[in-house]
Amino acid sequence: MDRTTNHPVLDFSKGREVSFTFEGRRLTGYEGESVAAALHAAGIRALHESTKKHRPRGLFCAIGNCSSCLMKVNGVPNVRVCIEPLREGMTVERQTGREKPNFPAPEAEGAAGAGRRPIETEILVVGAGPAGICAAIEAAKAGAQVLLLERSERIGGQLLKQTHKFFGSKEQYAGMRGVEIARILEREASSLEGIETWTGSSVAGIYPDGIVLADRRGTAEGIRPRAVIVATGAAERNLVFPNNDLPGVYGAGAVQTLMNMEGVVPARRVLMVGAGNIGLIVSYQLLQAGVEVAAVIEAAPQIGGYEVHANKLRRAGVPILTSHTIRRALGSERVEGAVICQVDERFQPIPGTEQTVRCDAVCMAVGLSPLPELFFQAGCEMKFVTELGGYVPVIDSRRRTSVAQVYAAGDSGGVEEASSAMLTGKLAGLCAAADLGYADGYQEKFADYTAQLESLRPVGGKIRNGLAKAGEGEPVPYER
Amino acid sequence: MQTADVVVIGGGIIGCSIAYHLKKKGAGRVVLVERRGIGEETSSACDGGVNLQTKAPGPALRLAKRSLQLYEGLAEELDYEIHFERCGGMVMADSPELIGLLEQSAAEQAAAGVEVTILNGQEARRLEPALSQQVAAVTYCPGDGRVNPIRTTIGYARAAGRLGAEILTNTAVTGIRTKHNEVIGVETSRGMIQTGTVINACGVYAPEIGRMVGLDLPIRPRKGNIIVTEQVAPCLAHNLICARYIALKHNPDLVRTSQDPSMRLGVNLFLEQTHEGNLIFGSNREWAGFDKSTSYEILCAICRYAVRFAPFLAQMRVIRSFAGLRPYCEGGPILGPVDGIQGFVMAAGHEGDGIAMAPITGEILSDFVMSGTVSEEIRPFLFSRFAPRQPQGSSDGREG
Repeated sequence: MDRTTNHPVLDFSKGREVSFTFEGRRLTGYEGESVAAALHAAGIRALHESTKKHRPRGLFCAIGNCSSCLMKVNGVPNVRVCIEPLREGMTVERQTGREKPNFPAPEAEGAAGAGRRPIETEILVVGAGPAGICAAIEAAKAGAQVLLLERSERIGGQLLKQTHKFFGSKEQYAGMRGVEIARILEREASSLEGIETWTGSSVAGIYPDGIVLADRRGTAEGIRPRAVIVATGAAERNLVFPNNDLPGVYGAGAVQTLMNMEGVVPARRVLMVGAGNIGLIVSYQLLQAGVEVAAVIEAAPQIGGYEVHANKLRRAGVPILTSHTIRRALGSERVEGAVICQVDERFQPIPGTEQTVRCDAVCMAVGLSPLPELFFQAGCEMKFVTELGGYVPVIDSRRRTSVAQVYAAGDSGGVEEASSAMLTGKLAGLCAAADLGYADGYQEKFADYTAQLESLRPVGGKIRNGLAKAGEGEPVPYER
Repeated sequence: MQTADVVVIGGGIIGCSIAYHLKKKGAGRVVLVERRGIGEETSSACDGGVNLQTKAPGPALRLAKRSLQLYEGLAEELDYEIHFERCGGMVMADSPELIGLLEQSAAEQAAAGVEVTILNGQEARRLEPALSQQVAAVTYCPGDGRVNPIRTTIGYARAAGRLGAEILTNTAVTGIRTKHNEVIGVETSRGMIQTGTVINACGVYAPEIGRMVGLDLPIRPRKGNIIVTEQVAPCLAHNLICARYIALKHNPDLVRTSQDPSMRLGVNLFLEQTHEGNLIFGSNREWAGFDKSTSYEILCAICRYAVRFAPFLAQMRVIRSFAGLRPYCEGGPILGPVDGIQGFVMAAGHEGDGIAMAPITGEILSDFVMSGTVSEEIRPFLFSRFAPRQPQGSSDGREG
């Protein structure tokens, strides 16, 4: 069993042990952990087979965003097992090609879920990561009625897997670990009567008639909000190289999910691609979980993250190879190694520098892209801003997009980091509530959060350049 | 300045088919002008049904039959996979009054030489197990087919290009020059093209081009919403259409008079499975101008209605929904020359039949352009079937 039993920071308190079957094999896992985690703990990494070329696929994003872990669960195909909680007696199967749907028996006909009267709410927050929870708390405190939607089973988003201590000031929970901050936010959100939270609920669309469609545990629910705060976050990127879809090529977030949330050892020996803060921090966390890190490679001539993180790795003997990239992953069913090489100043591979790295996982920490689908669907004006990770909505200093009553919070409006996400969430919640008439104390809070956010963004840095391009920071007077 | 023997305006399936057929018949210089990309409007916002039994007996059905025959060898001819198959189609009735409609329509189809049989619900479910108990009877037409409309449009455009047609995408037509009521050129965002023949294949946007020569074309956009599910293994053999689709097509007043709320929204059903395995279904008929937005209300109504006929759909995940605009024109498309404007040729207004009719439209329109003779097939679709409207001279169409 690939379970972490002894971790220097984390204590994995699991639910009760349950049994399930995987392709006829009887396995055990813990109730409520993801099906993907239970399978990984049993050494099963090939979760899916691609539809056309029948290539094995495994976990990549672990946040319900990509489609590489779709499996058949209790007879239902295309279930994202990275966010599907394990239950006693489940049957889990790999899909081979397309699955045939079940035709209901004649007496069971006519049970269409879609089309109930839409549920009314004042503010709908999509995504319960740091930005979404903070937005919900802020709006509810102002007096608004809030519905908070989260596609996974727990709220907290990426904070749930952060074991490092945060920087910043006291208001931004400096000195605390992300997972502790998540617990505080979760407690605060659940203590507020104005917040109703739906977990296991994915938003499928936002329609011109103002209705948002959500898949709530398999049931279609229409929601008619007066304002929508999009806090859908960001998704891990991958690079283009042969075998980049092999089971064992993980996004850094997936590695963190397995090892820091689920207590499952993701691999024995990992090649880390990317030496930004995420790559460096996750590498260190891998060491803490008892996993060997073969090397950290970085295409740029220097590391992108803080030296303090890099030095911890260097002290542990992990080579950090700058001006290096991955050429291909090796293996046919799962990662068995990787070929890396040096690149020149134009990021082109230098012939003759290829070397093989022995590893059973490749961890991709090459940046995040905002998840902008809802903004596009809502018809918001969008811009491609490299510094912010991709397509972002054009917003004003009050987090308003070009579409009335649609607000952006957190990484979906431009990739920054968790402390900024909490503040942009607070601002979005504050402004959305104020726009609905819940404006007590608005001016002071707006000034306070804006100042805090300013202090987090280095002058002349990448984020500020990106925000200037996206139009944020245009001061917009609050008028009522 | 460019010159061309024929300028085809519109890069949808109709325009691409015409350009292809012109080059196939040896036309000289053919230029296709499209203001966006190939197949970006109606031709990619529709289903792939190429059905015989939904066509009104008469000239339209005769054309549809020939069009389906042309589809048979089209993939090889274009050297491009278009996923055409004669899968057969069923028109389903879920109420006694609709059974009457089916019987009448089957008799008419049979008289017109289309093989259509009436099956009771049980017989229909044997052929198509996905059908619900609500299906009381169907008309079954083995000759109905389906195709991938996007691939077909692209296939025509590529083949036309290979044969020497010039295809100008992202090029808007800004005016049509006439002299003494004769077309002498087309003005585009990339400059003027001198030509004596222009073909208006702009679908719902055809009236814009018509106005450039002072024509008031009675083509209006009629919106339909469509839903696409995740891919599954083959589970539907036939194109399924509800009888209401036929009833609404031939009697639009039902929308106003019906007691059924879904009927009042113009909801009807087509359902088919694509070659890739997605289920695609819709739709409704709605006058909403050029607005292509969908709405929760209408999509829910379509889902509820579809589940009446195919209950398994309730478990399927929807991955996409969109609305398309169909070029509605009373009495069918407008094809062929227009009296009083020499060199101006129409090929628009097929409403929901554009995919089915594209091959034959290309065939007969190119025949007309090459020979200058209006065939018996085109005659019922001429613009002159409407009350004659005299062109307005140079008010919009500039004299060159």
